[in-house]
Amino acid sequence: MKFSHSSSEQTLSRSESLACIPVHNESASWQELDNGEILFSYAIPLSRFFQSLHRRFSRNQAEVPTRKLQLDQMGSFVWKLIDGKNSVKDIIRIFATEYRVTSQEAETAVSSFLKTLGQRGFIVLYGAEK
Amino acid sequence: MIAPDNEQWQTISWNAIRLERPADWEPIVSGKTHILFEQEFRPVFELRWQRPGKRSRESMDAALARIARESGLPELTPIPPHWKKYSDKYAIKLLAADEGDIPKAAIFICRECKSTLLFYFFKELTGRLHQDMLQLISSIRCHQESAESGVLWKIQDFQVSTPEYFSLSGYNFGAGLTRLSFVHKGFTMHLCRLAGAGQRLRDSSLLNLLNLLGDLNIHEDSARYRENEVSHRSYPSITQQIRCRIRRESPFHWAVLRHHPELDRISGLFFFDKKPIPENLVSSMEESYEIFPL
Repeated sequence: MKFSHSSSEQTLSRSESLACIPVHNESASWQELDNGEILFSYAIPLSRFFQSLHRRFSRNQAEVPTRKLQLDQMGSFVWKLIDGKNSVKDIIRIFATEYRVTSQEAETAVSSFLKTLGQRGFIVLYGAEK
Repeated sequence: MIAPDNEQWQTISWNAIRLERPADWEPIVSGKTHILFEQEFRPVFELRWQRPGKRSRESMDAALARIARESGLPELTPIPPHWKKYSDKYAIKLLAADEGDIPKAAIFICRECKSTLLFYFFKELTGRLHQDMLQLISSIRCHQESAESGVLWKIQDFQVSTPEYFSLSGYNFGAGLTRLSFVHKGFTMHLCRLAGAGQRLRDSSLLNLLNLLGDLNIHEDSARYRENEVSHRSYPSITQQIRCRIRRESPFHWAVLRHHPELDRISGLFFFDKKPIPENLVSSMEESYEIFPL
């Protein structure tokens, strides 16, 4: 049995990531539905081969093939908290209070959700100092 | 008896270690015998513990010296006056970060149960933090009192008492789903606690969740319904038992899922065994399993 000597770097990097401010990507296309949920539509990245097939067989050749993604109630709630002012930590706190879950649970849920949004290009994360 | 929680201090109990902590120090379970405490998303201290090995003949002093040596931290001598009070209950060694006189880590060995407790402090122990830490350490109970029956588990927003012979085989603190698994010989018990019950029940029925969480296939007509509760107990025939045993499955199960609308939670208990499941065990577990507001 040994002590773990968590280096200050690791702690700092987590703190830094919690201090980041997520911002909506302006190029992401989304709308709020009547029930308050968020619907994204985004272009499907196609290879050159499939692009040529699409151009040949699509009725509207200028149309870019898109995919739709609808967030559930919790996801939409988090999306609305992304306003360029709230940090990741703030969002976790608000989420934990709203859904009456522990900070640990909120952190797991929110951070994995933000990661997914980031991977899809819907948000951009800025360091706290920016 | 559990000390009543107040706004400032709350009880947590995990794997037979019980303590009181300031309400804003969030416990993060990092292992079966490891809890990290965070305040405002920053670690305050961590606690690790180890039960004595059955064949261990190492004296407490030797164990303290060995662990101190392995940590690589310099020993803090003499022990500061505030820490001396623990010497009656524990054999103690304090470690400093450098040659200073502020404790960075502490090694305690309980004189009664011989459990080893390790504390590592991420923040400098001064002022209020030092007082809180001392109060927390005073509240630690590393072994069962003789009058107590069962082992208390109290973490997040639930508590349950398990028989002493159960051992924790796994746990998972996912987003909105907590799961603890216990075993004893061929017997398995899973405890579930789901947050966001309202939303989950909009998408799925309580019976579907019971099937999903317990990996069961219970039909609507064989489930037993009560107010905000669904349960199922299997009565397999001899042939079914043989078939299950061939597939290396437990033929007997007892599953209960309960909705707590006022708390927006769902609690579940799943029992699996090769033999019929004792009714008194299920009822005592059900009675002790409580969910309370955060």
